[in-house]
Amino acid sequence: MTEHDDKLRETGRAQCRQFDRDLSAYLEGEEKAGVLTHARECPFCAVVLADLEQIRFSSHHLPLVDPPARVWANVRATLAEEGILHEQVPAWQRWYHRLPLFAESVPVGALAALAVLAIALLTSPISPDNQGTAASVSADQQIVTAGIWPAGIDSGMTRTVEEMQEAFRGRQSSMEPSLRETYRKSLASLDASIEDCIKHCRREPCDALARQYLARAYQSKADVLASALDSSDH
Amino acid sequence: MYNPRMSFKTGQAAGRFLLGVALMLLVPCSLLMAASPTRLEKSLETTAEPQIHFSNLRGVVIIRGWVKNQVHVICVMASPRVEVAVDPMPRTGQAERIHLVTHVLDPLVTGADEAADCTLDVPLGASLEIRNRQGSVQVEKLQGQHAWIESGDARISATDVTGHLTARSLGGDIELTRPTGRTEAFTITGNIRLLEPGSKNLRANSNSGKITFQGDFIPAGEYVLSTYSGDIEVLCPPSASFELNAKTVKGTLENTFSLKRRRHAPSPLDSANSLFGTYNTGDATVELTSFSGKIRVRPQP
Repeated sequence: MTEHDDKLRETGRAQCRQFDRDLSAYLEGEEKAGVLTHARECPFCAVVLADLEQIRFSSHHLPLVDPPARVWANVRATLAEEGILHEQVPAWQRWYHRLPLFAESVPVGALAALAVLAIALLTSPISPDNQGTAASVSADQQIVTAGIWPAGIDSGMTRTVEEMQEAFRGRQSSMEPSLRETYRKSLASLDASIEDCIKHCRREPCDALARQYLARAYQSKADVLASALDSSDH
Repeated sequence: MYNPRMSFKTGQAAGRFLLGVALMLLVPCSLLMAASPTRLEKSLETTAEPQIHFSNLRGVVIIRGWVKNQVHVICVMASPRVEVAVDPMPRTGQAERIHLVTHVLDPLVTGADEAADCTLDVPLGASLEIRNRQGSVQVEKLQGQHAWIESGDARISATDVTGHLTARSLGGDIELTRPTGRTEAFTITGNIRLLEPGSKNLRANSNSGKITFQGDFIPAGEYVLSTYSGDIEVLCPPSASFELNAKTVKGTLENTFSLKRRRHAPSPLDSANSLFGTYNTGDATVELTSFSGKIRVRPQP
């Protein structure tokens, strides 16, 4: 190796570094003649530039799609956990939105809510344990929820997680059995945590740590379901 | 007397017999070949800090750092209908990125036949992104910027990783030994073991698994360990210096270090289920939380 070769290599590296510095500005439309000049001389940087231009071209032609449900679930969970999101929805509306049968009929929904309230008032004794959310576990360990959620937990997020679970249930038969079992085990563990947390939050609604755990359990469940749905896609 | 008709018939019978024998041999041979493992061995020249992406379905993945600027891949596939595609970028010269993906070529191949056991020797400065859906991952001696490891229900172990280390599993146990960069471990039902960490920023979370931390805390370090129902056990030397903030909703707290109580404003979290205080000069911050798991902090024997 000669000194001349070393100098050439060093010059080339300096030009590559300059290319890296100017590249984003060039891609954003700024006049950076050096980028194209260097790309013509350096095969590696030429490949980088070609790749990025291809990505830019393709991205302009991508259809606009709504982000997947899990993204909203994560955003909602984070906002709720940070105390930024406080969904001010009257209790009767929360009940109403959980009853798709009555989704298009306000009077029927209101009557049904009144009927449920009347039955609840007539049949259940007043105690701290039955205020708020009722939770039960189905054969699939899915939490079925209705009613008022502990403070800090957004009903929209729980609805999203339920929708994701529904999608998973529809697709799990196509999954490889041992993988399906792994996901089911993880979901069962999270469901048990959610159920336990909900019970605790009903008893002690001021327990901020328990609410954090509940929000985190929902977020973990959304993550696991998202991963399961991705796996079933593949 | 030579009878050409008879001779033809005898010849025909012999031919049939030989064909039958050949077929009898061919069938088991082809079945054996179809079931026998196949092997891939490949060496690729790389830069000193390449990015390695590997997506595997099943089997054991071992990744070791070495001093060469070269990636050496050895894979043994359980079936010839499974292949590991190795794709360097750029295609010629020193690779900056290498993508390895395991493909099943035949949809009828399932279960253990999907397995590919792979060993990768990679440059010390390599960064990793490894997904092994149903197999274990073992990483040793890496100094790259980041190592991101994900597995389903199999074990993840990483030893002597100095970059940002992230390990995620659903049910597999995670064992991280002597990590020195930012370290994160997440699992749903698996256990997490953090052994002699030299990291200043460490987070571990398990829903129902146990978390064990064994080692000293680095001054100004932040350690956040959290479980839902799993236990948390912290074993550190008596010379350790930390500020402890331990909370549990329904679990129990057990601490054998004599902590100096910290003055702080009363909060709803102050209860028998929380513990705040400093030990020695309180150089590191240790936050331990559980919902129903037991939290134990004690000196290393």
